[in-house]
Amino acid sequence: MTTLPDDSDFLPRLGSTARAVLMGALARHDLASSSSASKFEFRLLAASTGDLPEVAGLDLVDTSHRMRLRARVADQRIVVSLQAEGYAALFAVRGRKAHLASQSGTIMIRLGFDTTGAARCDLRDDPEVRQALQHLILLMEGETPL
Amino acid sequence: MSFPSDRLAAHLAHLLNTPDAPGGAVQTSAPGFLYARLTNTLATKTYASALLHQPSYAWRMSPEEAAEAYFDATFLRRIALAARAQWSVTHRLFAELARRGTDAVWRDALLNPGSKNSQEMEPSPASGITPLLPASVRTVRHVLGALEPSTEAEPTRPAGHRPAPVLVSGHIAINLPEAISLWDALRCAPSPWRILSDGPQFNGFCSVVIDALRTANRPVGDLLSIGHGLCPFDWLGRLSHGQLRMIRLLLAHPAAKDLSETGVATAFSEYPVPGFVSAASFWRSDIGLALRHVSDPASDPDLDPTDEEQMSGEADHDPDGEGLSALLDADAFAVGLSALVKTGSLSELERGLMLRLFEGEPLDEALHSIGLADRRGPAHLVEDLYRRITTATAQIMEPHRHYIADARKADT
Repeated sequence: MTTLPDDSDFLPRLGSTARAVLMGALARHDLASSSSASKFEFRLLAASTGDLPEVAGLDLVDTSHRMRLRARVADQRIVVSLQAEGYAALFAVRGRKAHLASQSGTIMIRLGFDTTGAARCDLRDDPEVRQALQHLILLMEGETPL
Repeated sequence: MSFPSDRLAAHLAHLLNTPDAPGGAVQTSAPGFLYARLTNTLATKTYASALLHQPSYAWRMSPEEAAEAYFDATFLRRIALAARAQWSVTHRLFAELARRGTDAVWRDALLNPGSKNSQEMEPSPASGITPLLPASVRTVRHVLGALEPSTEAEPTRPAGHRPAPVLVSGHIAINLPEAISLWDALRCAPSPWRILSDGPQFNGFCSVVIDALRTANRPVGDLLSIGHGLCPFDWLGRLSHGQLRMIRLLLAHPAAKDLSETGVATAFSEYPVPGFVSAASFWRSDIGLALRHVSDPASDPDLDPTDEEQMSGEADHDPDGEGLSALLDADAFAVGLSALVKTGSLSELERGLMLRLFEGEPLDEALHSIGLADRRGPAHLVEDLYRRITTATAQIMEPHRHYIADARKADT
């Protein structure tokens, strides 16, 4: 047997339930429709030792093997270079802007890709930023062309 | 697009229910990633035109800049405790996330009304209890304690107002700040948290996020509902809710359609805007000037009365802080939908769709299963359905209560 709420509650709760159900379904559809081509994730597996990552010569490929990230230190700054790997990635990023973000939000920077699928930014060189390099995502801004 | 903030809130709810690894059971807090994903989403066409009303000022603000401004004005907005409320919608969001904490200490987390002596409930280092507290509790206390003080002027609280609520879980009691933002709630919640299953479990959480964002969205929503191409970020904090409401009515007056001085004066006589002694002073004011100079009704968001209610946040403050989002169970929902079918607000097919979605079936699959389609796309179909249900439950259901009673009899 169904236990129904009091009359005074019922209609607002029906409205709230329909709202959550419909908006949840629509947002899930939005997320599924957005192509994974617009996101690149970089994880530094060696970070589990707790040591700060060595920046000089840092060379990472994203988890989908479509973007390469290199870092070096110059003039007390960490210079990060990104390069699309392969035609599909180049097509997805060329001429577009992106967010480079770390998990904690320590690194939060916007950068632009040129027509060759390359982008560059520089970050302050301190332990907090080095720590943040362990897990990064690169999100392309705007609608993805793929 | 209708109901843009609800759709964004649901989007956020999904982002807060994405396991660290595919198929995983937990999610680690990642505010950096969340910020990047939210502002990216806001800058897409889906939201830039409807939620930011960005096309009207695109010449001076990119969608990305507008998205960041919206984030600051909305997600970072500290929600004040309403006069009679025990807690706010953002306190509720914090509690929902806390209950999802993987540390067993959070399992029974509930909001309790604050009291004058709630400070005494807090174990202090001197009491010797602190060392026994789980690390996740110490972390949450530390992060909450480190929240930057609000830069906004504190609203005047009436005498006898309730103190800020307390999060209680077993023997743990955590005093919460009186006003926290949606972002504070997300950043301070214990991490990692459990992934909710699709269906009722997720629906309940999604509803809480929708309530929180509706309230957070209120100042921007109020300004967007004025339309006429106003950039909400130019006017935040400069006009009161009452002024905006009256300006909205004034602009909707037929005489004010051309925004001529005489037309506005006629409309002003019926809808005097508080803070302006005369129609002439309103006409010559900054807002009067802005309305005339940037006016572009053609670019106004496509609002209908139910949109406006949402945009202007009339339902912002849950008076007792509890209950607005208490969702129906599957059986009660089915009965309610049957009543909507009887009133002609829904078709049987649409009822079937709603029941499938309630259980967490993806939209595409549910539409395919029942053979329902809209040539303008699933988003249009959902928005149309939502509008009809909102209208029905808010306005036309009252005379049809007997259908509910009939359905209840049939159900039992």
